[in-house]
Amino acid sequence: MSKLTKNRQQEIFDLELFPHIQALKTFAFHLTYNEEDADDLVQETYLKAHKFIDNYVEGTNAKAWLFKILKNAYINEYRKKIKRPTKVDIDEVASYKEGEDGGGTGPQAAYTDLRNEIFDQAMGDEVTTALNAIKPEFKEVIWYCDIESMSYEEIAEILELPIGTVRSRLFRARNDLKAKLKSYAEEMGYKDFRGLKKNSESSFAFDEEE
Amino acid sequence: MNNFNNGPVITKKIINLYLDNQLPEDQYSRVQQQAISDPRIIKIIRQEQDFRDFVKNSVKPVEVSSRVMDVVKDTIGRVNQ
Repeated sequence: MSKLTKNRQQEIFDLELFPHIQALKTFAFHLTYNEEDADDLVQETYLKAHKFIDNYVEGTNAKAWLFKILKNAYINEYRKKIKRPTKVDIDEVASYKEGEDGGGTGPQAAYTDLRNEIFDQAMGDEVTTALNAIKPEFKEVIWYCDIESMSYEEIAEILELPIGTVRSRLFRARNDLKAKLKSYAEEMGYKDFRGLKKNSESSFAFDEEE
Repeated sequence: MNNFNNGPVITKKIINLYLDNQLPEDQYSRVQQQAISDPRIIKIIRQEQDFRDFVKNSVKPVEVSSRVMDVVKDTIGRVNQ
């Protein structure tokens, strides 16, 4: 039984949680590549959010909280539908994840391979091609930061990583993505690809820190 | 980061942090000031922003079916009764 009143719960959903439904659906669609599965995943996310509503601190990071729930729901419920050889025991992962959909902590290594597969199924254009060619952990931070415009703090919370790790990972991820997009553009016959050439292999006089 | 604090060098990493709104206010202002005096910095900032816009705009929003909203609201309503 929630500590919140029915009306307060409704207010939280209307004001803080439902506004992110479009972003969740887009993310879900790019995970599942299926309209109906994506709807189911979003639905499951909100039902779990309701179940764990007492874990949510009002006025804080609703978007990050929902994305974390959605990602865990996907791993638990939808991973089974992917027909490809598995590298991890999904039952073990699902069992571990049970009860922590509301934002618990856990070993990131358990779904490293799953993340590979999650992002293998995302999007369908030149950005997809490039994103699928970089490391899955790089794709993940780019999605959250550059597509969903999340802050480093929100990303750190979803991924359960220090902000410094998010920062350095994002920097490397963007550089890798630029390099892949540049290669893709050159293969397609473009000489210049929206400034990517200068970005990825800059002769600019700035110091490179890495 | 030390270079940025102590000297004129602005790295691409700092420009990334600038665009991500992750710089302290004084460092943020300093990038803006140097950008005014050095067109190369403006160029890099624009290229980086163009790249981000390109990635973001490549992903089209997917509409949510009304069924999802209805089911969620109905379920929440029933559970709360």
